[in-house]
Amino acid sequence: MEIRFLNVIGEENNKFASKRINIRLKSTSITGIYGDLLERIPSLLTRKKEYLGNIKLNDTSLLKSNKLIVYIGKLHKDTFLTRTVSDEFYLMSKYLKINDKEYLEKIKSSLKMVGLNKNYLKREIKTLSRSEKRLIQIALSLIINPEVILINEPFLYLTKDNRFSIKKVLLDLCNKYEKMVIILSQDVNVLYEMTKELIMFKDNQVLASGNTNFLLKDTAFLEKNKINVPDLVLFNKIALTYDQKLPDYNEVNDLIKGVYYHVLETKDQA
Amino acid sequence: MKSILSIKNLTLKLDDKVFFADFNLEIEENSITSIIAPNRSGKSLLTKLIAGIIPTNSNITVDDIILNRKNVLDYITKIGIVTNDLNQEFLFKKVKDELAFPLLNLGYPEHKINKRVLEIANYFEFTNLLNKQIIKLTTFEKQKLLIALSLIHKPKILILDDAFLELNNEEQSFLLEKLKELTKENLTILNITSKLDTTYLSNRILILNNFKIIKDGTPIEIFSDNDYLKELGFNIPFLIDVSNKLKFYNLIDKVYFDLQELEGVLWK
Repeated sequence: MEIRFLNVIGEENNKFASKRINIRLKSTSITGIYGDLLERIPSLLTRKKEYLGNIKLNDTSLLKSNKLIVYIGKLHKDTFLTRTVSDEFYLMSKYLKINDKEYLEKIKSSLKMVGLNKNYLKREIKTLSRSEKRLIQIALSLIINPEVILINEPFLYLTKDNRFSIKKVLLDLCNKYEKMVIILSQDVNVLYEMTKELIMFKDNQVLASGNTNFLLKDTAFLEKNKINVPDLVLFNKIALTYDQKLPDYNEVNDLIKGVYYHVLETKDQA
Repeated sequence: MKSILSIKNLTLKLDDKVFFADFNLEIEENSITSIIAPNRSGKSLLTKLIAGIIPTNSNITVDDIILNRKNVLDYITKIGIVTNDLNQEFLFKKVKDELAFPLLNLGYPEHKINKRVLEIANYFEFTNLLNKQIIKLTTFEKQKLLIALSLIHKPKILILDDAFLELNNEEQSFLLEKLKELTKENLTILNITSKLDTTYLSNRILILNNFKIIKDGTPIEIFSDNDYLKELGFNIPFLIDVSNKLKFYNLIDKVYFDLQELEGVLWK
């Protein structure tokens, strides 16, 4: 699965991009989107409104394609409209006109994909933790079996400990269920941790696109464009100024272990 | 130092449930104080009590003006409040009209209103947005507008109620640095938040849990125990996390708030 933006500049009455956008998103790994046009991409991909330029899903125009794309917004107080998880699914199925025969099967399968069981249906929304709410939000969007999932700030309001379940679900959706997962985030640490490909916008145009590691380790490029350097990358960059070359780490605990042994080795050598 | 905000013996009971009992707080003038609080521990309720939105018989004063029915207008003009509710209803379509409205309400003449609107938009670097429709603003632009709106009448104290929740580090740092500068011009900042990385610039940090202050100290004192903060449900920022873990291995001696400084000690 591939999405291509060809000379896209916005909608007929809302040309939000300052230059025509030409980008390519692939489903082989999680893609990240960063920067000032981040919030515009979902509206283009899901509203199916007329836009200037061409967006293609594989070789078919987005407007003619039957592929389903869902957008999962940030979790906020109005995310859920009813009292229980079951009511939320019922409301969603009515909205999507899912027939009663398919209804239960689809719910069970959606919940399974996010690692939850049907006991959650009885739960009141107010009793759910933030990570559980996020998982239910993802499960609700999976009921239509979408091929593309756009998720905005997946870890917002979550502590590092309860990010784990969301991270696993997103990786599973991409690797196990072969969905195209696109993470929209202004947090370079999230993008560095979660994505393999990255599209960066700045000044309402494409700034760069390519391999996430390559882009987010280029500290000169990031600093020139006033973009935060990921914490783990910055740590290594500062270490270099003290003539300490550390390997790349993706987790804080690995960094700490690495630093510990590095300091011991340096002391031994001295 | 003078206390700009004073809460004495605050008690709040709603439907027989006690939310605050004999709660006291003094905030020093021109300081940056953070109250860090996990969810459902009383953050927004405290903000609403200070703002006078929820009435109380307790003694709350701002700049020596006590909050009561008689003083409410004088009291409220001493305060600016910013929340994270970016979907709140705005009264006007355009940014400049929204900014001008509080001053119009306070009876400012038109030339002064225009001057102040331009001044504050210039300070927060959004003069290019003054004629833009609010509905078309990005998250960061909306948050800048909300902060500018709360400061347009030059309050004595700015209360931030989880105001940076939806911002990234870069946007957050921009606003925090701008606000810090304003403390030199007679502004006090009370940052009530669940986001620990918004508190680095604070002179003092208090932990609010279950409607009680359970700890009060300097940033170094408050952030020196990852497990304690995690237990309370906080997300530990990278620098604090790394500092405490390196401290555990005796590689450094305290929590650092600057990575360059931390690595300077580590690699010396």
